[in-house]
Amino acid sequence: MNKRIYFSSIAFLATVLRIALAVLALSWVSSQAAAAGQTIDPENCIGCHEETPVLGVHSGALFGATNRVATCADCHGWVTDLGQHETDGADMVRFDSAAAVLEPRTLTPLSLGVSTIATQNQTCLQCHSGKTLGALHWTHDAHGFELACSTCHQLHPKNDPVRGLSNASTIKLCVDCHSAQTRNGEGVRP
Amino acid sequence: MSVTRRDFLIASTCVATAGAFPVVHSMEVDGKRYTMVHDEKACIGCTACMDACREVNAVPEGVSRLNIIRSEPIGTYPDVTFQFFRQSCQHCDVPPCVAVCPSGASFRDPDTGIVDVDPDKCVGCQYCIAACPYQVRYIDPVTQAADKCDFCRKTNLAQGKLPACVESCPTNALIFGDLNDPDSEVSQVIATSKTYRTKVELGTDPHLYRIAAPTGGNRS
Amino acid sequence: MNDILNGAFHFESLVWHGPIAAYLFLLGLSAGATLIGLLLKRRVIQGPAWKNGFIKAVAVIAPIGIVVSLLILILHLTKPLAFWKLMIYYNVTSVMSVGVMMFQLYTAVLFVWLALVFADPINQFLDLGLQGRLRWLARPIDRCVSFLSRFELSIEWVLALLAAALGAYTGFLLSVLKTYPLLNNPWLPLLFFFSGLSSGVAGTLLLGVVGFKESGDSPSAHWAHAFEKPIIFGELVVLGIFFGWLFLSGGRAEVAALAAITSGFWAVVFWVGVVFVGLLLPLALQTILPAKWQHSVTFIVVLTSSSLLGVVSLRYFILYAGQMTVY
Repeated sequence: MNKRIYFSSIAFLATVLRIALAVLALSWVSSQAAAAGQTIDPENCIGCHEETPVLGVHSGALFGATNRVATCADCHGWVTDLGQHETDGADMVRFDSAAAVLEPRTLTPLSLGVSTIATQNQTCLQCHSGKTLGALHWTHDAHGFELACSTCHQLHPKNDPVRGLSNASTIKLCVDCHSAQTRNGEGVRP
Repeated sequence: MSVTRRDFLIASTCVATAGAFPVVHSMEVDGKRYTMVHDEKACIGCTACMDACREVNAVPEGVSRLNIIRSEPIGTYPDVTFQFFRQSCQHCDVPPCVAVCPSGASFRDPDTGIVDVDPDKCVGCQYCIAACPYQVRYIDPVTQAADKCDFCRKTNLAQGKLPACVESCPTNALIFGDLNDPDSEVSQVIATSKTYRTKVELGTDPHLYRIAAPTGGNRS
Repeated sequence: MNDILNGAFHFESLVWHGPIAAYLFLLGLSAGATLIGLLLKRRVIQGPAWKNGFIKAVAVIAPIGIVVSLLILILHLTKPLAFWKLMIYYNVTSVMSVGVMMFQLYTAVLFVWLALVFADPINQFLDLGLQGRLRWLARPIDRCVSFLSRFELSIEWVLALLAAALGAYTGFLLSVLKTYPLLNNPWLPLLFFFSGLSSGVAGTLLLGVVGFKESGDSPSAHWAHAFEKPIIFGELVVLGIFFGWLFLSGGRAEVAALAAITSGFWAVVFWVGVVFVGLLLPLALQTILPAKWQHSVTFIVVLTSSSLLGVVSLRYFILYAGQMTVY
């Protein structure tokens, strides 16, 4: 056989092999990604949502049994379908979107709004017990599931605005919200 | 011994005058009867009224004219309700505190029906504090005289406004007005709603009416 | 122990505390002693009353009792310097105001009566005392006294009525308080009247025998003993009616009564101090012990001291336990 033909076919085969390996590698990665469960490691959320770190008390929250730090997924849920996630984020738990959480870099508008109150609050109740919350402050009991936790609490900023409120400020919070309610004719005595 | 006509006329005039005096004294002529209704269904226990009262009437720390008492939680999370009870002067029509005051410092204003205290006449014997079955009186640490809620008689009412607590309530749970006026909001609320008062059996005839909150379930 | 005492003397519904109990006791003591003095003078004593040790005891106890109780009352006010306002502003619907009126009258009449009783020694003192420097007072005072002594009987009647009224007043003061169901009781004035009377007898006997060396076997002492027994018995009866009324009234009154005599520090004070030491012990001692023992100084001291302790316990018990339960 002609030496040139021989070597070019080897080169061709090698190239084909490399391409095949690359494709295999890529498909292996994406097949891993496509597998049910942790498609995207929560460490990677920041890759797209780069301006949304958690600076408050939940940044260092530890799970007692495993000593694991809380991640985005613990509150917002796990991304199983990246395509779906990039389209509308329907698989995520969306808390008060008007809070200090910015839109992701991919600029896909969040058209679905926030998750239901029950969904949101059940997320928080995974760790926080209703009984303890009620004992901590009676307003938790008073509002129950009529109000989303995120209406008052903001976990991303360093300081949650409703923690450590003075008595006068607490009263002002009640008055502001409830007088708006009364003005809208929603109270018992509008 | 015979009685002359002259003696008889003089004696009977004296008796009639003496007899008329207590009657005239107890009648209310054209007076208002300021009354308050606390709607426990609308009350959210925010205690804005307590703060407003303290501020407007310059109530010193350590004592309080008005308290909102929150019940224990009724139900389990997330279906919990509370009952809020307003503790403040009832401005009774038959006030025990006025009856017992030795110097007359505690008095009922006949024009408004408001029970108030004249701090100059008060000597601080604390008889009124013991006599009030609603336990709403205190000794003011600044004046050392007895004091309590006066429906903002010397502050807001004097300026033609509603009492501070009524103005501050975000849910309109406090209704205030003249019970002697059948067209006032307070008269109409009392006529149409189911109201209750406390310790009525003691004969005090209090003027703080309450609309009871339902226990458990939906509050709205 | 500290917590128990703290809880017994400091609680939310407490308005009137210790000094008022002392005031109630001293007022009852003064009124009671006055009544005993009046009775002794009119019914028992032969000859000049002022020579009798028990009358001297009354002359010490009655005025000191009323003056000290007045002082306690004034100091207890949150505006003590305004106390004089109580003497110009009155309210006839207020038991306290009526009491203040009676207080003033009683004090005046008491001093007048004492001046009449002790007219001779006073005259002697004015004549001879301080090397005769007070002699200029002797004649005018003598003339006042002889003028007033024409009305001695009326003065004594007025004083007796005032003393009786004041003895009951201490009960009325508390019984109009609708806030406290234990105190809001029609039998309280009578209970305090009997209690005041018994403290008057006990105090007079004690001071007369110990302070003024009056014999425990004198006609006055015999009379005082004889008078004391029905008083203690009466007190027991009224105490029974007092609690009977509370229990049978039901509601908060029954709750208050039950709590007062069955639980806590004050229940102990009631059964040990009021009932046993104050009433049963004196009654038993007087009934069981042979008559000749009953006139020794020791016996009189023991008897009168337990009686007085019982009266003090009663005033404190009624005041504190009474304010523990609110309607």
